[in-house]
Amino acid sequence: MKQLNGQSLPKARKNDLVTRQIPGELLVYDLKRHKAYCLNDTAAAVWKGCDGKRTVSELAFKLQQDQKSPVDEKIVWLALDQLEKSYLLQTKAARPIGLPALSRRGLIRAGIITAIALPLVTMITTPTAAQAGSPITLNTCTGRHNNDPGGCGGNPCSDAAGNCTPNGNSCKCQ
Amino acid sequence: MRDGLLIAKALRRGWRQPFEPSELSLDRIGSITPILISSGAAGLVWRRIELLNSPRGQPNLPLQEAHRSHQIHAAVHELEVTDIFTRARAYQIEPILFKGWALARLYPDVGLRPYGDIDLWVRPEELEKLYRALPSGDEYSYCVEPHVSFYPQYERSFDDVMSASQLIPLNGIRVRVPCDEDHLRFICLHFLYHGAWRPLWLCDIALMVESASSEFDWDRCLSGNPKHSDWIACVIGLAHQLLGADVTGTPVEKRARNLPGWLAPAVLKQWGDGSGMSFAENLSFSFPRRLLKPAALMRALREHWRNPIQASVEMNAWFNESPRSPLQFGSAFLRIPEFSRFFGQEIRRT
Repeated sequence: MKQLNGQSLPKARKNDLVTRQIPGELLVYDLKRHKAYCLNDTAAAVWKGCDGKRTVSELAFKLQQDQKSPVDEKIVWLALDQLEKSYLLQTKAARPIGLPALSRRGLIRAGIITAIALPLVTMITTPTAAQAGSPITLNTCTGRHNNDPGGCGGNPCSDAAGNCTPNGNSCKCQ
Repeated sequence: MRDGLLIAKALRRGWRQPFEPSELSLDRIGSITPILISSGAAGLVWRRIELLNSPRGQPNLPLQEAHRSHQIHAAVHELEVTDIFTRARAYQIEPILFKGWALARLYPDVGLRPYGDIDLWVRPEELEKLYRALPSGDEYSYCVEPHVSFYPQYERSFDDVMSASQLIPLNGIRVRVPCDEDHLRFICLHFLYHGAWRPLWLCDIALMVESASSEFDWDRCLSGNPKHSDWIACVIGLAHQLLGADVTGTPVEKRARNLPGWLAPAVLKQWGDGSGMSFAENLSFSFPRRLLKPAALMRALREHWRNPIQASVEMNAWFNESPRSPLQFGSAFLRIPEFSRFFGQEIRRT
């Protein structure tokens, strides 16, 4: 883990991720965990800035320059917390002693209101469209993941009862 | 049928750019949102209601979320298609990609059309090799559906389709897809075979018809058994009548304006019912479990009952003004042996 004056430097995860930039949001798909995330502009800017070389202060400064608006370091920490929970960081930043867990509501209560949007990382959870597929085997079904494109597919199972449908994040003939 | 009509209105000309604001109110769209999402039409409708500038803020979060999901999944799907073609070619196999990305690429924006399985057509002798080429075990799995033949009414051999196929660039490789004429014929038959249950499929057809260039060879698309050519003309007619597809100047224009009276209502009823016939095929598997639940059993039996479209196709009937109920009974009768076989298998299994 890279450190600068005892402070570890956050680094964005790049492997096994697929991204798509859309207006105002960055969409990220985790090929390992089969989960999709939506990062708002602020969270995306922090994530993209996490190159393993910048400190949190430098990330806040960069965000301030990008957004042309003052940025409190706590905003960067809030983004990092969310990115870490979503497994989007390869190296996380060591939290300064005494820095409490942050939340969007907490920052607003603490009076940290900025011209930029507070960072937000949300998991994209939506029922996938039902498919009109041909029968598939039980093995094929269980090899699928609900968050894959096409989800479980809804195909009829040829050697088990039912259709290939979600069972949590995995798929099951039921 | 009311919901079916709403779905048709919500999707009317929804594939065209510039996008027009939805003709339907947000409340009306809200009432059909679950069907729009489950049928894959959420992205198309979201792009139109986005333009409504609702005073109440975000007007329909489930549709927006579905659109986001389609957009990121499209990026993943494109990588998968690229990888599959690379793997297949490493085994000296040249598949042809149908539907999915081959159609979605025609839409004006990413995420308007979701993807499902990756449908590949290969020569029968290449099927085993294709399975070997695909990732297995702990590797990432793909929803690939290989085909070695299609509906007999397609009346096209693999070599026919391959000879006119096109290579489209994607992520640094070239993906083989059928020529537009062969593809349009295929998706029309696919729509009929699955009982027309998914409105998005009719949008695909409308989009293909409207994006056909002046060189589009209608003879190639329609040639074959006149009955099946008429089926295809009727499907294009549905795209015209229900979704507003422009068929002016096409050889099917006259037929498109003059469809049998039962056809459009059957489609609208199917759309309003939500997912349909595609799921009926395997319901016999679950019959033993439903025997003691009369309500569930009745529902399963109803789902097994073919709608007039699928019954007509299964009975290889002309799309004319003759009543469809004899065909529906005939279709049910024809499937008794298959049903008995599945039922027996399931009884033995349970």
